Amino acid sequence: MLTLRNLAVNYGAVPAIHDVSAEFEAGTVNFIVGPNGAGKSTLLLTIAGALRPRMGSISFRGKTISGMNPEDVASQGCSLVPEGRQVFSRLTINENLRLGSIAGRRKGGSSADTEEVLSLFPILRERYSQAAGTLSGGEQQQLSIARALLTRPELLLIDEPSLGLAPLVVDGVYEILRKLKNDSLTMIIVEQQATRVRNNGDTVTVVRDGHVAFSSKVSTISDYSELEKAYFGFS
Amino acid sequence: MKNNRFVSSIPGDTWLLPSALAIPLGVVAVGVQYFGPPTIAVTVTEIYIRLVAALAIYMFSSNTGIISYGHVAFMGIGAYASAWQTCCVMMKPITMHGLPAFLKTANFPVVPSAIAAGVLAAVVALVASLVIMRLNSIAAAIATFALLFIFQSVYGHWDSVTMGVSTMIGLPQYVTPVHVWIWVAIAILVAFILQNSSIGLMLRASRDEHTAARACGARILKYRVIAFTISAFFAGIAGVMLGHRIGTISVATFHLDLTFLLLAMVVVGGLRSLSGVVLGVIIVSVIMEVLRLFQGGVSIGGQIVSLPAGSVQIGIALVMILVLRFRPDGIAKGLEFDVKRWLGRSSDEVALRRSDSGSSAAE
Repeated sequence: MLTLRNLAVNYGAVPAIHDVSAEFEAGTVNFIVGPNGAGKSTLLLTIAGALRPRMGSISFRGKTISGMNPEDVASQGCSLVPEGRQVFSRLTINENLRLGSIAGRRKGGSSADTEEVLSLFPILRERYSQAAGTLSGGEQQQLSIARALLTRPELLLIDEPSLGLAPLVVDGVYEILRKLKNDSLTMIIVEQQATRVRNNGDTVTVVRDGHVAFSSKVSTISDYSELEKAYFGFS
Repeated sequence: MKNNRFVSSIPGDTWLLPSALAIPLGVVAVGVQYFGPPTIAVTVTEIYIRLVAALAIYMFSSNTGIISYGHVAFMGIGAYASAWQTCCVMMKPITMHGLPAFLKTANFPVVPSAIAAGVLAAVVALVASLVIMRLNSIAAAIATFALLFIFQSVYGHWDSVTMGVSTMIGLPQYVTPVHVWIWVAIAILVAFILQNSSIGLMLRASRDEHTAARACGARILKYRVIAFTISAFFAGIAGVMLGHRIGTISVATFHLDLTFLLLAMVVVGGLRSLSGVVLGVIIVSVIMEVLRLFQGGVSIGGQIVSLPAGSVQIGIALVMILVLRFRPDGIAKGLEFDVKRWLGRSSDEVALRRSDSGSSAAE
């Protein structure tokens, strides 16, 4: 579904990612893990069109999307849930969701989608005329995911869904992600820790110092020490 | 239709807000035009003209978060365009011999001319915005400022068409309080529809989180161009009204003084709500008129009290400093009037629709 070929991305003159190739299949949950500053978020932002690759290509369902604007990537069906729960804090929850559904309607969505999404996130229905900034961290994360879902994505890019959230709240977020997996939505989840990989992921890719240090199907990993080594850079 | 509750942002009730803003202003307009003294009618007309101009700035700046210093240029463009169509048939072939033939002897009806003038301002804005709106925040604001100077330079030197820096006299003085009020009401309605439309929503989202908005599929450049063009139309109309109120125009009218006066009004009221802009224009105008009265000298108990020249400007500056110190989000604090509560109904949605949740740091 999504293929990265020899991708290299710079922040100015500083290389953040060099020579990353990867393949993500439809209907799978794919984790990208790695230490702070490894280039995970950069990779995700590049797929979403927010950063331009210096070299290499990204193809989504056979179509090259590298170099496209974020809005065009979104209209291709590739939706980003940005790091740090970027909800539009001054807009109401209703307006936040409308933003997603406007994009979704271009792809044949309807108001029934909003109902369906709200049934996944009952807390949002209760507060839909409240400013999004008044929600708690976990609720904002839910809103952020709900908004992305309303764009009717085929691929959901989720940047650190557990960042700054209490473990119990993170459990709730992953509960929702599992439901989405059951609806066979393809996901790429960036996380700093690999703790959620075993129970939630189909594949895992360890990114370290801007390149792929380890990559495997979760089902074939018998010994996690190899992943750990890749993560910490022992060899 | 139950589902629509969650996606539609203009449920029937919220139309209360534009009505609540426009109708009292209309009552005042009718009152002063038919029953009030002429001096008050003139003051109200001038306040309403500023209100149309301030609403034009609001349409663009509140949605995009980009302050526009260039809207007064569109007022000028509108005023001149209307003058070319309606003014001084005898003089035009001599003083403005560079005008195209159909305008040189033209004496078109005033209302269609006003609309055509607004459209010209909008077209200029459309072309300019294709360049300017690619910039962000401060850079975009400075580019709108540059637009004002380009206007000044072009209209100030285009002698054969604008009479250069000379004053053009003899515009038909048809503007009454009720006439301007109609434009005020239209501007309030358009501003309201724009901010609640998907275009306004996406622009407001991009104001806070640019990347996230684009990831939602928001085509920011396109929407900014649309908002700028619509707002320039209303700035053009305000310029037309101004010209036809006084009956004379010159490029000097449409420069820094008016720009900063309008921005002061918008800042005092608060750029984040429609109610704020209306309040700001009225409050600053009233303070201005009172100070102007005292500047001219007022007899109190046989004693003539008069303030020194320049008191008006100092007064406005003081008000602005006080507001920025104590109510940085403006007098309305970014909230709208709670119309439902006034009507004795439960208030939930209207009042705090666009409430700031203490996160204004995102600016």
